[in-house]
Amino acid sequence: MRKAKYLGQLVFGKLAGDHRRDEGVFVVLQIPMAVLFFGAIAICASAAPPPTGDKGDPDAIYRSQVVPFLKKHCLECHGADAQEGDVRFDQFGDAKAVAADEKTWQRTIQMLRSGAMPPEDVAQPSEQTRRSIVNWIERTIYNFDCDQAVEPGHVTIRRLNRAEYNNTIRDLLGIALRPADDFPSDDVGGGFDNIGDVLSLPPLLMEKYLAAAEQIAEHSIVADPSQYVRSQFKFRDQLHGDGSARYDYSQNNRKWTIYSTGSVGADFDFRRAGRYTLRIIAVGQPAGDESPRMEMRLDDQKVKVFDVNATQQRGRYEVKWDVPAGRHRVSGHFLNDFEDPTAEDRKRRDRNLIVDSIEIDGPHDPQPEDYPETHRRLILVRPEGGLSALAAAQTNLKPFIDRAFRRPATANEVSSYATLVDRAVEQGDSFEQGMQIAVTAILVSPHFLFRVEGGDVNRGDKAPTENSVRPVGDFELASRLSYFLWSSTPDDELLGLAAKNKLHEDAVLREQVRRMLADSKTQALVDNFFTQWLNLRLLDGVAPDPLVFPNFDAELKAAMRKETELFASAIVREDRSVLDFLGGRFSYLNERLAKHYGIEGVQGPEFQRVVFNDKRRVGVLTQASILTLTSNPGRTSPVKRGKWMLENILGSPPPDPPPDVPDLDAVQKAKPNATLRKQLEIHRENPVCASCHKVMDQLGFGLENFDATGRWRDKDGTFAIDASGELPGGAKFNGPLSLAKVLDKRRSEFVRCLTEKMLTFALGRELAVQDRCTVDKIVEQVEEKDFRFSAIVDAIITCDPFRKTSSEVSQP
Amino acid sequence: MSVQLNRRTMLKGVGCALGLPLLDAMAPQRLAAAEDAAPVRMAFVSFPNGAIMDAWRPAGEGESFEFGPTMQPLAELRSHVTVLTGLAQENGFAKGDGAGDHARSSASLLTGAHPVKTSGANIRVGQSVDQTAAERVGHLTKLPSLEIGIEPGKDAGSCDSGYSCAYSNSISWRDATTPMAKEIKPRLVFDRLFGTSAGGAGPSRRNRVRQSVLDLVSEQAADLKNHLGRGDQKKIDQYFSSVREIEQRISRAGQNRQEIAVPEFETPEGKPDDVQEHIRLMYDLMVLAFQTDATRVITFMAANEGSNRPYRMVGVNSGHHELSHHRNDEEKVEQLKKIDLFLVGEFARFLGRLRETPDGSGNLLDNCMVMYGSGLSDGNRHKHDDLPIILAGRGGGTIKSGRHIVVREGAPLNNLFLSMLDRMGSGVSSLGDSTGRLKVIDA
Repeated sequence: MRKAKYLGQLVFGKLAGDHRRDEGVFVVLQIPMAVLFFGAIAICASAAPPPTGDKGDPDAIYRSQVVPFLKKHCLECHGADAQEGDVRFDQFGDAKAVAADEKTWQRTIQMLRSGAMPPEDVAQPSEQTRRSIVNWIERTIYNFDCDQAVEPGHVTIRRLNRAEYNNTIRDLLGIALRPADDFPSDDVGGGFDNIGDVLSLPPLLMEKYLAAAEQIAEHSIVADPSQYVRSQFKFRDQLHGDGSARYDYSQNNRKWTIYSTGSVGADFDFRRAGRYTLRIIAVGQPAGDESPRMEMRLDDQKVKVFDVNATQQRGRYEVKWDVPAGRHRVSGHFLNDFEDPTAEDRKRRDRNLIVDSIEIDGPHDPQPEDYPETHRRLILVRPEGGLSALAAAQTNLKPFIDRAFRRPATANEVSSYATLVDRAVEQGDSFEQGMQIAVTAILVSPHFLFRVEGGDVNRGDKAPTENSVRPVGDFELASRLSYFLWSSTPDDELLGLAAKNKLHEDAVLREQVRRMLADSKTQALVDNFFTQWLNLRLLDGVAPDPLVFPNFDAELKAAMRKETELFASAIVREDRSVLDFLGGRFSYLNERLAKHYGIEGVQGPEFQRVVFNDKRRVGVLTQASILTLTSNPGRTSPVKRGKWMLENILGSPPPDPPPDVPDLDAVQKAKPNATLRKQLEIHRENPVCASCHKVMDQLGFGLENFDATGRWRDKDGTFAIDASGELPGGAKFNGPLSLAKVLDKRRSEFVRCLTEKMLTFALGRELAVQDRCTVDKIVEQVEEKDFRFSAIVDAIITCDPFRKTSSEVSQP
Repeated sequence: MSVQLNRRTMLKGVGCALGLPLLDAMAPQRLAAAEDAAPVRMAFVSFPNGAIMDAWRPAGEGESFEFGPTMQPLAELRSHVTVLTGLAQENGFAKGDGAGDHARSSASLLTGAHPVKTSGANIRVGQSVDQTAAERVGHLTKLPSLEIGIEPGKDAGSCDSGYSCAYSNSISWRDATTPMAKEIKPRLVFDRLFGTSAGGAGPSRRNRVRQSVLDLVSEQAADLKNHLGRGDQKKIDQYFSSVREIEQRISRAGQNRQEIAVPEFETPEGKPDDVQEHIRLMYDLMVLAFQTDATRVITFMAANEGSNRPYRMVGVNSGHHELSHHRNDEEKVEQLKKIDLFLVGEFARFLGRLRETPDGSGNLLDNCMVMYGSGLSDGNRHKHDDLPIILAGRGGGTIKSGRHIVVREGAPLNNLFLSMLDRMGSGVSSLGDSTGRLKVIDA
């Protein structure tokens, strides 16, 4: 099975299985190759040449195109006379010899793609030539053919990650707990935290799963319904103030204060008439001889007057009251304002009332309809009227397990969970407590925690006995869709279509994707896909130097992040062209961020859409979030910005730097007094360093008008900013707008890069060599559909790797 | 489930003034069956990006040595400390794998193994020394081991030149393919150590219920495993193994042992914003964990490998990693020394707390072995030999401390680990790339 890594555009990793054999061949070939020259006849005539589809005989192409290319562009430094970086190209006799030295040629691809090689001072190949040489190398060393059936690949069984866990619980039970916020962070592989191979399950996490499941079960089912009293809370920003009541928005001290006359209240739904506890949580600021006096009202009716004696800790002021059904306002009114500006104790000069929250409990004679919705959905029947606990549990659990396991539960599964309930009841637990145990056990089951794609349980699929390709089952497809677009469990409609075995039909699938993209749950794409693709999540850990950037604070950072999230969200929601990421002349700003950008006319903390007419902001590249997370704390880093563009926009990550930089050491020894600048110049003179830095630095220079927090500048200190640059191949730019234009000319590279990232996220595995064929097709389809966001999604959900799976043989 | 603990939410502004409440009423209470001698405990504290070795390395050797400038905070604890110079983690070097020295340094630090270079498939390094110890003595305490840190794992992008972030986020590996996730919120560490009951249910019912739940899901996992391919089976094995560990804990808890008294300890709800306060809380929790014998094996990452956080409390506003590639720029080197000094200072404070905590007939520090070190020496050039390593404590009187030991032959760091494991009563004949024991530390 091929499980190769796919290192960004056109750059492929090892073919673990396939190339073991080559190591042996390599040794054999080494000796004769030393005496071979270009154009020599293939030495292993009997060996089958790698298939190249309709691209012609690989050896012929090698002789007619590759060898002349190497001679013209490479041999001066990588030939008989010099072997820079220990790379030598004059000893490969034929295609097979090339295929045998995958490592060298892989690096060659990377160098050619990123434009790092050939260096500036030798003749530059045309883009066309560059591409066709890269194509030939790929086909030769990876030995694949897009014209034949391509393996869809196997996704290693993966557990839910933190975001998926929280969303799944939300959608499964309709509760707002977020237990996974306290889970350990999920490790990232291939840029995303939903990769099956990388997600592991250490004991700490199992411990958390168990505790979370218990917490959820207790939250969802009322253990003793006769004692259940429903509570409703409203606090702080859910309250309404009248008169002199003011809300303090400051981060650490949010509260309502009534300064003279006025009230703070909230509306509650009293679902039926009954006896309720009404409670106001308040603090008094006393002055004069009295504490603040508060009148509690139900609508306009006086309920009770309290002296608010609590001054340090909040006090609870409550009363039991008969309330008619319906919506009523509970409010606290400040009755005895007082001021004595001359009082000795400064803290006792002004009497105020602070209201923290308002709560109601009740009704106090609970009926089944008062129980939380989760309870009512999970306890459909009780063991009453001749119904056994076992039978009642089975009736209750079947629909829940169906949802939790994202496929119909087997009779066996249902009965084993019901037995758990039965046994608990036998040991003295209430039926509801027993049900809590069953729910706990369902939520720590491997069928819930992992997305199992082991064939269709109901079809009685057996473990695969040989490597084989099959379409994923309809239920598996439902999960693939919902975890891709919603990072959550499939909803009833998806599961219903899967049950009818209709979901895999093209028309149904497309219709469902349209429906899903219109759902607000696609916020998950922003939260999980876009924030990782753009590295936006890394902004949290960035800490600009407060001495250099005194304006930077947590609020500004949050606004930066929000801008990019809203921008990505607009692309999804409005189904815009993904090219807007490069060239969109709009964004979302609030007052704080607009000021940071030097843009007038945006007021208040809310974000609003802003259209740019200036020569500064364009697309995601000039958003402060991206500019900040690619800077050093005290200054910009054109290198980091360039690297970010190569990795995330152009999809041709620069090759790894050499493991150490011996040449720099040598420089230091030879010229111990050289300045850093001088050393770096020498560093760049080293072609190994210069070749990559030239591309990275040049791209980064285009954004030099933005400081390390994304604010516009015309000067750096006393030096005027030079935001010009030139890329290999001659594309020139000066400043952000023209850089964006240059990138737009390379839109197909961008779309390919975005496609690769999204396919990785959608599949939950790193891309492999053969996925190149899928990516090619998707890019073509997206270009045909004006680069609409939905076109990428459509193409992904209909591609083979998404709809099929290669099975692995199990081991006994 | 709100864990009912004797814990108060820390008030804003209390900040680092927090003291560790070492209450007389809280004399060490052991879970383990009565033992005459106090047990030996083991901890590993890692710091990232290497150290400025010129300012670190002590002058002189043996008992007559002088701490280097950045190790000065330890002067007061001199007789409790062994400074080791010359040890190496050879597997941190590239060995043909190219860039990625930070990922390799954290992955190799406690394993002495060479990590497979991968960003996803086939993550593999080796079992780490703490887990070797936990495997053998973990059953004696509530938690077999504790893994803590300050920084969350990087949750986007790449961590280091083609290595999965798993390698940079953990130094503890349960086995070659399972990194032990670390806890970074002090409150959650406290809850793990001392939380016992939930929702008012008594521990015995809770344990009975948990056991029945885990029985059922283990059966499901066994059944499921038969239907899966090889790669998938490995993941289900992790599930099994983790379920089994919790089952073992439940069964230990059922064996009529004295419950650990819940100490009073103030922690904020979330992750503290102030790094110094955060580090101190974590160290204090380590003292508590050892003091109450809730665990005997701890790993603590003072920062993730390659961490680029600034250290504003000592006037360093640039990122640590960025600075570490100082190219001998004097200003940067000075900044790095400040970081080294700060981190050693916090470590010294921790050792002081261990020393002032009674344990057995002596103090806790005497019964501990705490390694403090980095998998890089020169962060500028990514060197993995001549590592900065301190061994604190006397391992129950078996280590002759108060010395600077220079290992000239460049022995593997894992040789030290073999010697430490012996003292835990969990000796093994080899670990990672060990070539023998480091007898020179013996008393």
